[in-house]
Amino acid sequence: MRRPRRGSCSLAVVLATCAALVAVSCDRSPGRWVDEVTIGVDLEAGQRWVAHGTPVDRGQFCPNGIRHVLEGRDPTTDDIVRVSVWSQIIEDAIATRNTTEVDLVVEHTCTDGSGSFVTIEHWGTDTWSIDSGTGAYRALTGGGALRFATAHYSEVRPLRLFLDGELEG
Amino acid sequence: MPTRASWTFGHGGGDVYSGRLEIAEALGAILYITPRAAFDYQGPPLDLEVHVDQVFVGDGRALVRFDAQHLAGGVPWMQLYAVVGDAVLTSRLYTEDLGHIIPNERWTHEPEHPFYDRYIDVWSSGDPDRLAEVYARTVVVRDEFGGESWHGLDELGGEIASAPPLEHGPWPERFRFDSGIRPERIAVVQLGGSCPALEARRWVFDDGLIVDETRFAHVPSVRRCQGDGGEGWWTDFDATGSEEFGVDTITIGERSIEVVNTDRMQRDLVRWLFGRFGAGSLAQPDVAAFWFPPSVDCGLSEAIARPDDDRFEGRHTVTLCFTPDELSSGWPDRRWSSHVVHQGLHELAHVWMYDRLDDPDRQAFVDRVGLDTWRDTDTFWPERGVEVAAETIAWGLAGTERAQYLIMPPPDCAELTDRYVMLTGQDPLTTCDTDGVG
Repeated sequence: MRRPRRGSCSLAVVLATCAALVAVSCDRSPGRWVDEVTIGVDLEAGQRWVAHGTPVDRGQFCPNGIRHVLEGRDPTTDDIVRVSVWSQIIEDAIATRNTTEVDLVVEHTCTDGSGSFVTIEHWGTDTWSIDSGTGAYRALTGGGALRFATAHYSEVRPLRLFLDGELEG
Repeated sequence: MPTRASWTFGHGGGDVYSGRLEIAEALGAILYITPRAAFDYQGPPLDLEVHVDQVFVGDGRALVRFDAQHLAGGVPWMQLYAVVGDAVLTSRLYTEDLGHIIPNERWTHEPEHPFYDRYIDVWSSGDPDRLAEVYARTVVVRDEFGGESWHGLDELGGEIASAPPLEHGPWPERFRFDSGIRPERIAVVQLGGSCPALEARRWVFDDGLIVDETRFAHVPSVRRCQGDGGEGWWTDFDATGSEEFGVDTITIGERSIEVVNTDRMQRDLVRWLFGRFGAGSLAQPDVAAFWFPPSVDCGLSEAIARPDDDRFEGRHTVTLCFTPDELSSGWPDRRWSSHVVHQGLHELAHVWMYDRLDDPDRQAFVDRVGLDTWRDTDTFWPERGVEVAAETIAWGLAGTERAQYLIMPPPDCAELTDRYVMLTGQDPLTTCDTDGVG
């Protein structure tokens, strides 16, 4: 399992975005972009996801992909959590919409081959941040808030996980 | 045995989708998956659901990465298909390379792939001298999609400076197929540069180094980066109606041999090749199966012998990459192409030697012909004792009119005869009545 970590910029970003999804303060290179992105994950269909936002429209962020949970960690001790535990947490979230606190390290792979990125999701406190990336997402930073919802308020299923956030790439 | 599968490539929009039900149905018949999924499982047949995640293509070959999911969870796989026309497929299934022995530890122990990490590091360094850390000096690298190839480290060294930056691919990055002395790995890598792209690389190892590398392009990446360049034989390819490859059994003496993808002419050739061993008073090579195209091995060479083929319980097999229209000599008095005869006898000679030469025999032959080694990854094949020996036996069994000896310059006929006698204890069928080597 590979979790290349970069500098502390992403941590600063997530702290900022967790508070109010406000603009980030990291140094920016010319030609880079900062904008809001929403990633909607269909938890019940192979964890495939669809992304929306201006960067997607501009071709700066891939429109869809698949995600894979690399590992789960105890948010208090940072110890690795057994797969049976975190997979049950995901199942419970789908069934009851209640989430237990757990940190998930998740790799998101773009279907179009443009690259992949790893996120740290804090279930329970419902925040997330970019940890690392490859290809077009090597310099990706940012993060935001998690929320569970269906496509329409009147629907019960399928439950989707939405990652709303501001990213810099 | 792998049989068939169905997958379809979307046209336009960069979508890649599959007939997943058909794939699941096909995979259900594959021995590789069913025993693992059903290990200690006493219930009804598992309902496999297959998601195709990535498709990579080459010249008549495709690598399909999929997740096979059932109630107990999902498992990633990679399957290599050889495609001919729009119908027959053969395939090889690669399992996730966990990097450690105990599968359950995948969730608690970080997989270690030191070779993969070193490979990425070598290519990222831009230093041609470091290629020897992962490649054999004799390596052949083929870009099946681009049509380029590099032979040996010197040629490959010229490529490293202009190669796009290389990074780890998405999980699980590596898949494995272990078959005797030439294990294989599939590595998924992320190419950087102006248009990042995924790529799959098939590695064939010998003595811990890559001796063959085949690169397969990721269809959506190509379409995104090259526009119209992403179309080819795979566009709208639908193998739903593909037939299983044909497996027949022929009897040679008291031995039954499975022959795969053969017509009558190819089966006749197999009988003729084995007949040369009988005519030369040599024991028949102990071959479990004889393959013809399509085969996933045919992109690597014209012919290959495997000492311990996992598909056949670790027994010897031979693959001969010639289609029926390539077998004929074109001469009315000579049925078989001399080159095909030579390649077939060469591989069968390898099989014959697996069981009949011991280390002292091999060393004696190496000393006799003045070489340094019987077989070594970093020695070019004409300088390996085992290849010189296989050439010698193939020459001796072919018969005077067909005999070939491809290592240049060839020894004279008397010397070849002496070497043949040393290896087999018999006189060759090829005589020195004519000029040259026969």
